[in-house]
Amino acid sequence: MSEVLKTENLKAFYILEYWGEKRVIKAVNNVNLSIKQNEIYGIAGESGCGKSTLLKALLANLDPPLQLIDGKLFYKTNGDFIDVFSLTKKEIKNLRWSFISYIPQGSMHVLNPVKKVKDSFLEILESHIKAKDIKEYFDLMREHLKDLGLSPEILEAYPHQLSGGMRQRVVIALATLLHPQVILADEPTTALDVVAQRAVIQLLKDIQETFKNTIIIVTHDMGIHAQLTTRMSIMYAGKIIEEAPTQEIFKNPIHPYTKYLIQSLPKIGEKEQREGISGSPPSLIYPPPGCAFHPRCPEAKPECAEEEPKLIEVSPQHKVACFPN
Amino acid sequence: MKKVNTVKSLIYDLFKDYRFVVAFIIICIFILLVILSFFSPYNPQRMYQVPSGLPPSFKYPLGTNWLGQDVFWQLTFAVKNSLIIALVTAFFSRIIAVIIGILAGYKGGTTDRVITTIGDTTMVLPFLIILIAISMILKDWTNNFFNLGILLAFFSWAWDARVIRSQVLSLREREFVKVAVLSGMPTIRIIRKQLLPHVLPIVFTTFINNMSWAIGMEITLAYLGLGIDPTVPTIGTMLQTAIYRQALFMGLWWWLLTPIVTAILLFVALYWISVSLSEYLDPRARFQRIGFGK
Amino acid sequence: MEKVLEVKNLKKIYSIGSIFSKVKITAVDNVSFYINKAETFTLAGESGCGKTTTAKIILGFEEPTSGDIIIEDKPIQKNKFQDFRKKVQAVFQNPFESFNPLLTIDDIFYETVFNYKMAKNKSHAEEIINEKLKAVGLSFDEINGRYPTELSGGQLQRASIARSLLTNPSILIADEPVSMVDASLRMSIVNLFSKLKKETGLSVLYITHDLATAYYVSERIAIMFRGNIVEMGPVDKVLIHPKHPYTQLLIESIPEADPDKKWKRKISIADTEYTEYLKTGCKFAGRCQNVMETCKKEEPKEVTVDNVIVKCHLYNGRRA
Repeated sequence: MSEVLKTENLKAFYILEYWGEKRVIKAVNNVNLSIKQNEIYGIAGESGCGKSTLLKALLANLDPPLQLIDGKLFYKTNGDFIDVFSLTKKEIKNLRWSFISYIPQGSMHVLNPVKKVKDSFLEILESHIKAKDIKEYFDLMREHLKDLGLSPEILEAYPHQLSGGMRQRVVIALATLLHPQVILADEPTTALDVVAQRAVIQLLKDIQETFKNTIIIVTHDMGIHAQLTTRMSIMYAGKIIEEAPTQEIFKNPIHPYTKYLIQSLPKIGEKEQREGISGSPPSLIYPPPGCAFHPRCPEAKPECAEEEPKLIEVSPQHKVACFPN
Repeated sequence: MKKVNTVKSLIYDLFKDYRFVVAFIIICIFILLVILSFFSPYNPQRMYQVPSGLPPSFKYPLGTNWLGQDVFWQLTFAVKNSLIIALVTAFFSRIIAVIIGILAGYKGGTTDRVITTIGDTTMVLPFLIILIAISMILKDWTNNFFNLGILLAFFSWAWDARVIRSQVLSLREREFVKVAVLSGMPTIRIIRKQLLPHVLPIVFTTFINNMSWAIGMEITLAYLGLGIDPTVPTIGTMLQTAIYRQALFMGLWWWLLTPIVTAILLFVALYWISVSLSEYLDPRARFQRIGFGK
Repeated sequence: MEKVLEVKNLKKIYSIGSIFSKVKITAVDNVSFYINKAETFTLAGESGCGKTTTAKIILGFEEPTSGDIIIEDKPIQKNKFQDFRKKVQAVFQNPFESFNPLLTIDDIFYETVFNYKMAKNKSHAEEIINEKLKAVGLSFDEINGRYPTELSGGQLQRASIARSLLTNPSILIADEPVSMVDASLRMSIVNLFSKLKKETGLSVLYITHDLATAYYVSERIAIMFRGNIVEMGPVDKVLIHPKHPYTQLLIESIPEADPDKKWKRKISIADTEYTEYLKTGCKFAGRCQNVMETCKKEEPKEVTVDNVIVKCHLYNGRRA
């Protein structure tokens, strides 16, 4: 399967200056990704690990105080790889919504609360497609909603009239309006309850099956990764610490953090005592030396505090950044 | 210990803004003038104390006017008096605005509706006409700076009370206010400790804006020959006297220019301080700063 | 067993809309339940089901349209909540919002201690605060003189719990206490509730939509849907052998962390927030797999089946 997006040694930091003092938040610290066509790629990790920043970087959305420090990002459009950071702002803007689109964490960040849903759709269509009249745009909208199994009546509603789950699906419909090749989803189900969450995941799955595009989904919920993704990676303190096909991650987790993430959450029917990891997520300004996880790791060895383990392939398609036992 | 640190850092940070620096210098000059007014060799209301109509010189830095008064020393009193009016207005209108705004926002319901209606009414009244009417009818009463200040305060609390009310409305729903209620805090303490710190930045910046407005009103009233007794120097009365006595026609440009330039400098300085302060006190920037530079 | 909290026939009706189109939403519809001493009781359901409204009414932040709240055998009278605040405390969802960002964290601790007259002087107050902090696994230095932005979500939530324990309450209302906390810290906070229950006999009203942690930490559970309790009983019965179709849907929809167990069935959700509230008959009829004709016309009555209270036409006529 061919690649559709890749990064090389991507480094993006937040540089804050207050009172003459400089603070550097190393949110994305040397990330190498190779995303293929026709796959659902998951990035798991907790708050403060840098995954939202990674998505911003993948969108080439680097506004101060976020700065690109090092590395390259490539999109494969029309058969060729383009170096995204060398494009002009206008060229990047053209790619948004048509090649790559973004579903943010809160649906209200995308939908204008004083406009009806159809007007938000119209805005996007008008800036990317030249149609003869409004009717053509509306036909496009209705057909798209039909393809996704959503009722066209929602076009006439205001965002606040819709339920949370419905709003999120509208945002997904908006993001897929121009059939982009890559869809980035940032915690698309966080504020939703279980049932609405299921509907949203269902929709994403249907979209991927129909259009055969690529979805990159970022969430801390391992259950969602298990249900939806084909390949996934775990992020900690700005770095990728494990990457493998989803089945493999759940059957053979190698990194202690991954093992913990999978076992930690309780299941119905099991009442045995489960423990949390001691300590708290590391500071991205002063990350621990060596392996960033070593202060909390139950299997830590002396070398973990001195040297940073590199991401190496230990079995076909399974990479991990951890010193072997 | 902590408070000293934050004040020092506040001043250090504000000085990075050129607007604040310039405004600060201007205000310092004005304060100097106010202090000097206590050492004036002349009684400001007496006339023909010095030779009239002399242009600015070393002996008379801003010249003398046709009434035989030293313009410089007149100015010291003018600045002092105008600032007194402005401070009285701003002080009282802030107190009213804060009390009413918080009451309306926190209590809600009928209290809110009654208060807001009263406030809205004062906003739509044609206050200039009313001010003129009162100044004409109660001429002696409005001569007193304090009374004029209170009158002006009556017309300027409503807008900011609304602003404070809307802030309190949103603060009321936040979880830390609910936690404060659960902690057994009486309503008044909740208002003072939990809500007021969020509201104070607005109060400071609108205080300064209110001062500017009050000075503008005072100048307007004086220009119309109302309000303050024209022999008492304020920026407004200096301007009015100069125009009335046809300073320009007589070529005594320094007599007319002094109050004009002073007014402009004062407005600009107050505006720049208010703008740089409010940008600095923007809650988002503030929260990011807490915990920094320890 | 003595009841620490009893809710009887609680009803809350909101009118929403403009002058021209007022709609009445029954956010809480005839809800009754009780909580025993040293028991953790979960109130679970989707967002918009009425669980948070019920919590607000119990805490005195909203007034019910009708119904009674009884704390330790004493009914709460209108406007007299202050008498009960010592016994009923709360922990909220967002740890960062639970503390005033402009004040230090210890400030609200001292406030609580002195307002409820738990201590006479500062050193006594510090003793009490220290005791509660230790109970949640925090040290005095971690909160002394610190602002909320300096702590992590997990630490703040623990501080929140410590503050709520200062008055030695009989019952703690925990509204989604771990949904905004990182996964790696979640279990330690949930375990805290169990520990407090064992050590001090604290009862907890645990409000959530996460059924897995509910199973882990509570003894009894009530499932709410659009203002009604549709199923209530011991956690083992309700979550492992769910009777109401909605409970079954909820449990089925939990994404399992196992790629071999994927969802098979497709589901539908309500388009707007309010359409389901305004239905006659059973409010779940529009989405129910086992829907029958009576469901759309008549509201189901409560029946007790196998020690579980269910509100569903499927069980009409059956008695335990």
